[in-house]
Amino acid sequence: MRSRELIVESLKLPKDTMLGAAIVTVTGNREAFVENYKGILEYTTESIVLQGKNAKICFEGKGLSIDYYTNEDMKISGKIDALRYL
Amino acid sequence: MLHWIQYVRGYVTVKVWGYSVERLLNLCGNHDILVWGIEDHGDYHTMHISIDGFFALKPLLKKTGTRVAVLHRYGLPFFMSKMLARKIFVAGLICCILFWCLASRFIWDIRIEGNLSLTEDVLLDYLEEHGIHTAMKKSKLQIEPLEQSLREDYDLITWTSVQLQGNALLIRIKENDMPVYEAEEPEELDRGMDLTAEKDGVVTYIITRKGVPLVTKGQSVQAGDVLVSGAIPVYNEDATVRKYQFVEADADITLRYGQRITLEEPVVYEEKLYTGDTITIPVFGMGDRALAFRLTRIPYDYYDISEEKQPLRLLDHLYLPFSYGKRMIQEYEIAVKKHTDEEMKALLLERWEKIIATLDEKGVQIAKKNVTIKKNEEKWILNAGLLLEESAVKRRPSRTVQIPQEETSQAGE
Repeated sequence: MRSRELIVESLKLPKDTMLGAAIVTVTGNREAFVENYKGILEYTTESIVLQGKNAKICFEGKGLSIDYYTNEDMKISGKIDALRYL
Repeated sequence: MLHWIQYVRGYVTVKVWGYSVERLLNLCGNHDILVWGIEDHGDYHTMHISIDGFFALKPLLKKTGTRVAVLHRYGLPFFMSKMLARKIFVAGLICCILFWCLASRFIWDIRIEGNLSLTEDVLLDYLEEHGIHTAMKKSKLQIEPLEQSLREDYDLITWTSVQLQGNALLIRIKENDMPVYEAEEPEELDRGMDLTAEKDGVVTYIITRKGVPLVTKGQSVQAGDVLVSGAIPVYNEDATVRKYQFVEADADITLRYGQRITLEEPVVYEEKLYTGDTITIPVFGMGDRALAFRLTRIPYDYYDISEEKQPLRLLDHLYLPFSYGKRMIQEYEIAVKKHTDEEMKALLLERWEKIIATLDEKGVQIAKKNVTIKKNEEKWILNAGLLLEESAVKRRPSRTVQIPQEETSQAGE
């Protein structure tokens, strides 16, 4: 695993595709854009938990909702209080 | 753009509840089922899903143990199916659109603006002759030739503008303010033009510019007499006429003639006194015919009828061959009244002054006038003897002057 990261790092290959890492783009505290996630684990207005390859991504807040999602990416809106990796 | 695509393809809002909604969402993602606008309502979730997606949802629901219910349907496919259930309405809508398209290809109204001395009837008759009438096809109308022919056929018209405003044909013309001289026609020129007297009278002034004067100052003439001849004789050496040179006679001539004017004004007159009773009847017109909605007789002995109608139109310019309005019937009573002396005098003088003004307008000068007013019980009579001076001449083609054949042949030798 370590060697693979090294190769990706040295060859400057995109990490999300090579390592399956999730990309989370947060705009202010109202909007989040998640790419490269694997699945939805929990969906309520207070928390949205997504499955990444290596970790779970947890959005906490109020009035959270998924605007849209596809197999690759998703857009979350609402008041985001915390973003945690479990 | 996205909204449009969503509308055209159609989508439904569904309510999802059950054991694991999250798993259902994951499966939707994996099966490429488009889901958006997911909201959590505690006990259940709502989301939008495409129609195709909704039908592909069934096996996933079974797998995840969730249930689904449709809340709303959006988009064109649903609208269409709704419309198809209302066949007559749709047929009516299509017919209406077709009728509209069809109707808008015709001219439904012809309006003429700017005509002062040419009446609308004259111009409409002219248009009719040229195949332009209401309910004609727009495509048959040729605007430029119409403008040109209007200008050519009426000397009075100096400017034309023909315009299609929706379904109305708007013809705007400008008439010549300057006096129009009759066009010279070459065939008549080789006959010459005489000036003839229009009225019986005495010549008080004559200056000839062109032609041969046949009268002198102080001579009395009769209507139709030639005053200035347009045929100028060219003489041979033996004082016989060799030929005539024809010109258009031109002269300033004033004729003096007498005229008697009698004006009568009855003392007793009838006046309409409107009682204020009015019946208003709605009127519906179709083409030239009008239909008034009233069955009973009008209970008045004397009444005036006035009508207000306006054409039915759609969107300002789409004129339909229907009109609507109202017909007002006003009752009046006849009151017999007598004018006072002052009123009588004023009435007569008013009429008299009108006559003087019209004479003045025509360029007639009054050389002498003698006005008397006679009164009796029934009426007042104004008698006026006028001596008028006026250039009362008329241009007329010269009568052909025959030159004896022998004379010309002699002249040739």
